Amino acid sequence: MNSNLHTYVAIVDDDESLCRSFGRLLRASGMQPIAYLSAEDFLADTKQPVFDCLVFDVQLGGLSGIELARQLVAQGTRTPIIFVTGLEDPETRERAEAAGCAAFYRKTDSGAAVVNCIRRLTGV
Amino acid sequence: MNGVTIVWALVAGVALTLAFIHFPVWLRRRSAWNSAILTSMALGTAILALSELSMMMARTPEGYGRALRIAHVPVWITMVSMIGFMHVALKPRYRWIGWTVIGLRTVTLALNFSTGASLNLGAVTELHTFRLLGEYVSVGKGTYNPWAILGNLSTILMGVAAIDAALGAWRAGNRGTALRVGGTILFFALASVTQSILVFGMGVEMPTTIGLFALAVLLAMTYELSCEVTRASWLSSELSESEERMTMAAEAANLGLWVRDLPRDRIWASPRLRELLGIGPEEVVNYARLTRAVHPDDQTAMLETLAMAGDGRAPSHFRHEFRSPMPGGRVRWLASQGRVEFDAAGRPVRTRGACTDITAMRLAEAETMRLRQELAHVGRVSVVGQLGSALAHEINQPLGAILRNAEAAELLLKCPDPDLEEVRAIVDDILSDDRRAGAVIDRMRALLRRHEITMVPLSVQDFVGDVAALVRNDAMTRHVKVEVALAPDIPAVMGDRIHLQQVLLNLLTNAMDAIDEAQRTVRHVAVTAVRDGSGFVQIAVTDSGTGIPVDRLESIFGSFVSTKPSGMGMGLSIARSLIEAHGGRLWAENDSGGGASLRFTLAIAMTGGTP
Repeated sequence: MNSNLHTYVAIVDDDESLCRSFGRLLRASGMQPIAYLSAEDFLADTKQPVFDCLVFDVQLGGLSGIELARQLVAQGTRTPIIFVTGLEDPETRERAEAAGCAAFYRKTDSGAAVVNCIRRLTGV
Repeated sequence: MNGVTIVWALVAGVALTLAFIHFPVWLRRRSAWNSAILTSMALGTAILALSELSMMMARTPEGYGRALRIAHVPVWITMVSMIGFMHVALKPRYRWIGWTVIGLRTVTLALNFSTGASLNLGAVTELHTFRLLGEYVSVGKGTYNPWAILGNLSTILMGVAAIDAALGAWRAGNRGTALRVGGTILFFALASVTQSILVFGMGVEMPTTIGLFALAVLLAMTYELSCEVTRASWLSSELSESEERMTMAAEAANLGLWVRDLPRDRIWASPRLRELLGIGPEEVVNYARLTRAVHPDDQTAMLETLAMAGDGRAPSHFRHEFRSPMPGGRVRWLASQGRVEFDAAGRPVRTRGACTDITAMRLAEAETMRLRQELAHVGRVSVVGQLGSALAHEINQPLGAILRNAEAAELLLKCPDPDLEEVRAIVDDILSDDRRAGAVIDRMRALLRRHEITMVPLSVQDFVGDVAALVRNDAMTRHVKVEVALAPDIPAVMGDRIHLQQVLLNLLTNAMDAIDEAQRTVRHVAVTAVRDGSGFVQIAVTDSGTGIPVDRLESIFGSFVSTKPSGMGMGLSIARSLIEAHGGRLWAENDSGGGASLRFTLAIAMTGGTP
């Protein structure tokens, strides 16, 4: 568990309760989550650490998670991106994968699965 | 040459001819008082002329006296007729003058038979004979009867009556008649009096020619009557001309006309109406025949309408729609409009009206209804689809949060020294997310329960007012002023009250959220409604926020786009589906004032059935 203490994970989700619960799960799993309620908040945070993994919701108030991912990839980021969405249509999944995501989960999927995925992606 | 005999006989002949012409006219039409008066005037004139002729032909004073005495009877008749004609044709102001003349004349007629040989001469003592128009004629001489003055007085008074009547008619604009009738009667009065004084008072040797004077009056009266006949025939040709025009207009408008004579149960129907009802051109139309021309299902209502019109219970104007069966099992829809006419006593005497074929309108209405139902069905299907996705989305959020919280708690509790504060916070969050999920399900269920869209005419004022009242509290706590400004002539729209309320509620809530997000000092939302084109009403919700980025004006209606962090609203996509199911449009614009304006249209409800 201790080996994960320096794994920084960004959570961008417009649902406050989801941010909080997922943050708890990551902390309980020994990671360092930082939650943002919108893509704009994430981009505006100048004091953010170097993240090891990014977990985005697709549907956000302003800029969508997919647009945010596209923007970051375009800027040359290599940080793995995971999408967790409340939507269930295959079209969203295709668009997310096209934007360059490492994994795609639904909000109803087990949190442990997402945590395992982060571990696999960050190699710790 | 027997000139006198010829002239007086001619006068009598002319007068009798006129009597023969006008008497039958009066017999056929008893209200034609003119003809009755003219007949008696003509008979009086004829008898007077013959009396005068026998006076002139008398060869003894006694014979002359007898003839003179008899002559006063036709004089009475002609004078009464003249007074009567004046009263009818000139309508004098002082009728009592005429009645006085008749009274005086009747008294003198009695005196004529009771005092001496006649009214003029108390006794005929001698006979003077002289030559006139190649004949020897007699004129009597004797003692002057003082009562003759009364006779002259009555004749002069008739002249006065003629002046009064003529003046009245002249002022009323009836100048020709005033001159002709008043003038000849005045002439008759003056000439008769003068001659009577000259012959009987002063003994001038001349025959009396009062019959000739009477003929002048008779001819004037005949002329008046002929004018009236001309006028009547002109009026009747005018009437038939206007009837022709009306028939043409009715035919151009495809109207069937009818007149129902109530006491006689006879109905006159124009050719077009017979065609509409399938009644032959020669068939007699009455109550029973009309009933047969009406569809069995509509007969009761038709009979009721007919009966109500017949006994005066119907309003003076009535409208009735019914079906008429056509060969081949089809029906024709007809709308009949009419009014009841009453006699002087207030009893209904006849009804008349027009009938039009409204089959095409009825078919169009049915087609519109069918299309509208089809549209509503399409709308319903799409709404249910949308609701399904929205339900999944809304419910997945709290479910996901619950799952992660539970997983986190599980991990925490595996620790030898678990953070119980954190676990308690987790349990609280789980409870709250569970309630949230339950609330979403409740709301969705409420929406789904109304799977049927019931389109009814809705007052825009009412449903906007209802929603404005719903958000009033919310708006107050958020310091947002909600203004409702509806144009005064907004007609009712077709719609489902609950669905439209939900759409409007959603737009108002969105607008208030936009104001909150914009953090503007001006905080108000305006709801306006105006007529949009011919068949729609446009309702707009405009906020004082910062508007919507131009590239997102359309995408905010995308299936799963929520502009709100909480995402708990019904969603603009569903709002749009609902409006489209109503046959309207929902779109977003940026207001010139800087805020966003969400607008939707609804079809105006058709008002039907009113006459």
